[in-house]
Amino acid sequence: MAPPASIGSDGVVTGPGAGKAEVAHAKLGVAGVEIQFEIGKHAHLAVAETSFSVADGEKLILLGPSGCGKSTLLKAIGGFIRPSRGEILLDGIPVREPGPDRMLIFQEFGQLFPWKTIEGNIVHALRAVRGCSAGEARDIAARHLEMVGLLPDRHFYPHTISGGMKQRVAIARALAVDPAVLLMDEPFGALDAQTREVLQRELNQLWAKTRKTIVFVTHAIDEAVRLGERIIVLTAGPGRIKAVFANPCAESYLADFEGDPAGAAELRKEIRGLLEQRPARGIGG
Amino acid sequence: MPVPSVPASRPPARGRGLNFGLRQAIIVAAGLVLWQVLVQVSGVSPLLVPSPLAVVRKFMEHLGNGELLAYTQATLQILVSGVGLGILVALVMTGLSVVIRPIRDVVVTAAAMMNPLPAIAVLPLALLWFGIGPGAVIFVVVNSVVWAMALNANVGFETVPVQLRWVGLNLGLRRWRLIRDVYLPASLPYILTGIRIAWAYGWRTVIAAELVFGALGSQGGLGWMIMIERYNLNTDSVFAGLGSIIVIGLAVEWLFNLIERVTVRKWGMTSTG
Ligand SMILES: Nc1ncnc2c1ncn2[C@@H]1O[C@H](COP(=O)(O)OP(=O)(O)O)[C@@H](O)[C@H]1O
Ligand SMILES: [Mg+2]
Repeated sequence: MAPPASIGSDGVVTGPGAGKAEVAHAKLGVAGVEIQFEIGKHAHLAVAETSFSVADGEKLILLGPSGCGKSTLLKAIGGFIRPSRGEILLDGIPVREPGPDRMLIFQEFGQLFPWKTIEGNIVHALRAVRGCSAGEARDIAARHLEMVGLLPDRHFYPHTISGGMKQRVAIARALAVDPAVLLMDEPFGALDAQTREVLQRELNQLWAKTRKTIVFVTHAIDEAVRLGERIIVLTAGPGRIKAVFANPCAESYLADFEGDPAGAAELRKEIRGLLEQRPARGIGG
Repeated sequence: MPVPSVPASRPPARGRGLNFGLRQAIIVAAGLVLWQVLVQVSGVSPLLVPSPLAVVRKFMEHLGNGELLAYTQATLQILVSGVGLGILVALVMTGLSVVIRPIRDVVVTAAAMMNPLPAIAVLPLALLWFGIGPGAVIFVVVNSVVWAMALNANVGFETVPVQLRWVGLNLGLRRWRLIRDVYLPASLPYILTGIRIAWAYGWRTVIAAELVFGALGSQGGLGWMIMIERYNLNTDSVFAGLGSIIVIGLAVEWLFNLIERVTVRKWGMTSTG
């Protein structure tokens, strides 16, 4: 039984599922993916059958309450978890294992190698992935550190810098590797409110420059509306797509992050309404 | 409620008054003076307890004629090759257990069984297998370090933070490149602890082997020197030999601290910072 389609606030009718052909031809396709965890003898369904696709250069938000399976889905796209059913396609080719074409950024700050400097972390990634020479890697690293404003700090070790700086380095490292898709799992979730806003704005600026394909996971409606071109709303127990919105405010936020573009409040309200609805089958687990 | 007369928490000992190293030097100097005075006042026979001055004189004498260095070199040669080989074997075993899971169970089980056995206990067996010579002692030293080292390295490998492991996989690192670039550096605090323990075990084992079985190689080591000098009732030389062992132990300790300072401490990988 197909879930009902919903009408986004820009009036575009969008269905939760995507057609098979569309998924196969997109940059990234999630085709009928279902993810179950075996806990002892029990099978816990974390993500119910889900299909969507991400276009080249798109910034897509997966939005849903805590525990609805957002991270699980993103890890599956990263190749760290194998779906129980369905397939994940990158440029039409099934994803089997983790690889540098899908760089994943975590919420936790401990994703930099503590034994390498800021620059060393990026140089190492470049040499591991592209096999470039040390000099070449340092040049590319410098360019990306410049983009996140950390070039003067490149010789510091990770334990001496703030959480916001660590996440910037993680982003710079991921972009330096030049993945086909950047996967971000609540990367700003552990930051204080001010720093979070600064990094959100920086991400929008970075994306405006690079037009990198990004799948960004969050539970915060506000963050989704400010960052997303398209927003997929997931509901819990088990995770499934509730609605898909094309964000009418995306371009405004790129130009003016602090602005309050028309339609933003309505979109937030509509999403909040969706998330407050009780799931049809009750909250599982 | 009575007000406690002692503050609930004191500042760390190292932070107060004189520098800790200076205080230690004063304690050692005071101990030596006390020893000298006691020996002179009590009139104890120098065959039982020589005075520190006599010991230092003997120490300089042995140092001057090259004997002490030769003994030290003999001991350290066996020790360094045994400990080095043991650490290498342990790391290879631990690395293999990451790549091939069943090996992990074998290593952990073997280590758990061998670890409680005092290493010196296998010396008779080693003499049977390798004959009397440095080979037997090196075997015993390897055996004394390899299991402690393997257990530590294994804990280090098992506790590599999942994010770091995933970053490695994400960058396309697999098998030995993943071990080299992620597992080894991430478990360096455990590996260094393992090396410290390995060194301490090996050091005790080699001296004990020399004491019990005498000159096993073509040339005796420090343990051998202590035995010979006791036989000849040169108690001051026995003390000089013991002093050398302490000095070497302190020097190695200093070296380990230095290594930690320029690695795991600098990288913020220790809880004490
Ligand atoms: N490794 C795991 N084993 C078992 N259950 C898991 C595991 N990881 C996540 N889950 C469960 O799957 C559901 C979705 O988790 P997660 O994807 O982390 O949610 P989100 O990121 O949306 O907060 C939760 O019910 C969680 O308990
Ligand atoms: Mg999550």
